[in-house]
Amino acid sequence: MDKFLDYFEDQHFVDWALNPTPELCKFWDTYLIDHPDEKKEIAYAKLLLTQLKQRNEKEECDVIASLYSRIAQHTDQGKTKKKLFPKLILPLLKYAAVAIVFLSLGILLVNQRNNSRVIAQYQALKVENNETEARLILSDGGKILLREDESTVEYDQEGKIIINHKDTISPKSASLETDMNQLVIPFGKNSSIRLPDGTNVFLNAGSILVYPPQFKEKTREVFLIGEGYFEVAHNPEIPFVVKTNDISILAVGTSFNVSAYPTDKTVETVLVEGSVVVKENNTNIFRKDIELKPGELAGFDREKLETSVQVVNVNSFVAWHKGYLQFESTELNRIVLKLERYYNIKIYLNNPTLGIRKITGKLMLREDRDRVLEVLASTSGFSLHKINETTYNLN
Amino acid sequence: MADEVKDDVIILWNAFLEGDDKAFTAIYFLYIHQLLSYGRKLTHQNEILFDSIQDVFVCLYEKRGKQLISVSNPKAYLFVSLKNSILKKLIQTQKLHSVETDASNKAEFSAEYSFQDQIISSETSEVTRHTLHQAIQNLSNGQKEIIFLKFEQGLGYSDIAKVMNITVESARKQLYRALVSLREILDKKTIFNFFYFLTKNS
Repeated sequence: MDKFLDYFEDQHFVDWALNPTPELCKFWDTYLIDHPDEKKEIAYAKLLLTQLKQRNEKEECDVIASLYSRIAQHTDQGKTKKKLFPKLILPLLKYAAVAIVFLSLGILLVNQRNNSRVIAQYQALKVENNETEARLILSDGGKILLREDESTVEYDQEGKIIINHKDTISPKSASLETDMNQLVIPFGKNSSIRLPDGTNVFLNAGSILVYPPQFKEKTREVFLIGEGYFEVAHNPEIPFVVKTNDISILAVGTSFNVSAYPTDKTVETVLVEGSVVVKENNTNIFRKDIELKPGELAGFDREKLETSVQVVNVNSFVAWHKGYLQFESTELNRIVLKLERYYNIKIYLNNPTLGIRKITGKLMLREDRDRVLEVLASTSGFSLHKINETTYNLN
Repeated sequence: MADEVKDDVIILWNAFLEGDDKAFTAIYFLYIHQLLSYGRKLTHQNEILFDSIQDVFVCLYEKRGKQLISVSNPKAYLFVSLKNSILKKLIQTQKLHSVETDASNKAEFSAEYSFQDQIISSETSEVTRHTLHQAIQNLSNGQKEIIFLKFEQGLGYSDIAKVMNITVESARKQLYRALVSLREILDKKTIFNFFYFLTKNS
């Protein structure tokens, strides 16, 4: 009878009974073949769960929208709006809220069960829309603007934080285990941080690193959105884990690059030295973790939910952290995307087919931006037009 | 498992506490379906439900900054707030219509279970289905609420205990008692071929 109750404590089992996916079905079918003696109990447990499920009520979009607009009108946001708009226009707010809901439904409610994607989308929104200044947000709520285009953050032995090699900050000691610091780097900036354990992380433009003020747990866990180059301080007892929305990378003491921009189709992990294990977060429960060798790239495809491994020229993936881009017959599309992020600019191609042209070369990112783009254009046979401060055209 | 709260929900929650209104909106859309679903089990009156949800979020918004709301699981926090708010409103309306008040001033959890026909194979006898359905309907309101919170909302025992204001032990015991009692009905009554059932649904 105890075994019977165990099924109900197994989230995989409950999911299989209530919200089956092909993967879950495959897993439990295999499990049943391996454990024929449990067949009866499993059948009973599954039957009970399905019978205990509520009748599904679908909530109407307009209920959710009108509730939201009621709330918005009663919060401070709503109050200021009330003052701004004359009374007649107020009812229109309801329609604005409905529009917001449909937009948000698209972004946020695609999959209610997948919370982390919701948050990543939200974070991506934040990086794109918010201030253009790189900043460090401490667990106590304090915000520190980093001001430089290439900022640095370092933790010293006593837990003090040194910003850009000069300003020192003593953060209040964190009380809660859930307290986290966030390093937010908008497009057009980059940064490097030395974490309390001595690990160095270079953050590329448009990235967020979330990390605890001190590593107290059995693993050193950080959360990354965007791109980071990691030089992990060696400590075999406490593994270092980089979590992203889709995959987790487990390392002991090694160097690797992770690119996990919410808008990219694949999440790429490239190993420079040592070894790392790449885990898919919540796709196939019996898919094996992937151990990378130096020089290999693990690409997780967000649509197919699959990881493939290939050997690559490592330098073209990690050179950005040293201030240059290197590529070997790389598609122009990819280079343009990298430059757009690095400089926070827009580059339009006159003809979309230009994007798949392969280019080989090297670009020094820290030089004058116009010059860098001019070099790219002239060496690869394009002509460059500057439309305004942040917009360029290639043809 | 279910007891662990996703780190990223906490990130969102903290962003909200730090004054980010977009995070507030994201929290609303993240939980509104689940809150409505839970609320509907506590009251059938839309008026009370919608007012309560409004109160929960407006109150949350106003509390920010004044006091630090650090919670281990935002979802459980919202469930507790909603339940309290509905309870308060139910008591108020009962005071107004004191004549028709019955003794209970609790928000009774009521759930309606329907036959999930496609799951039980046709070989299940009508009697078994009826008995099982009857037994499920006859579970105590508390047991139904625990089942809903655990299996459909994925809350852990410590959160269930908070929402229902009972101990973790009691939550676990009540659930097990319900499951075991239903299991016994199946053992006695079932004549259906579970092998057939399994192959049919795989």
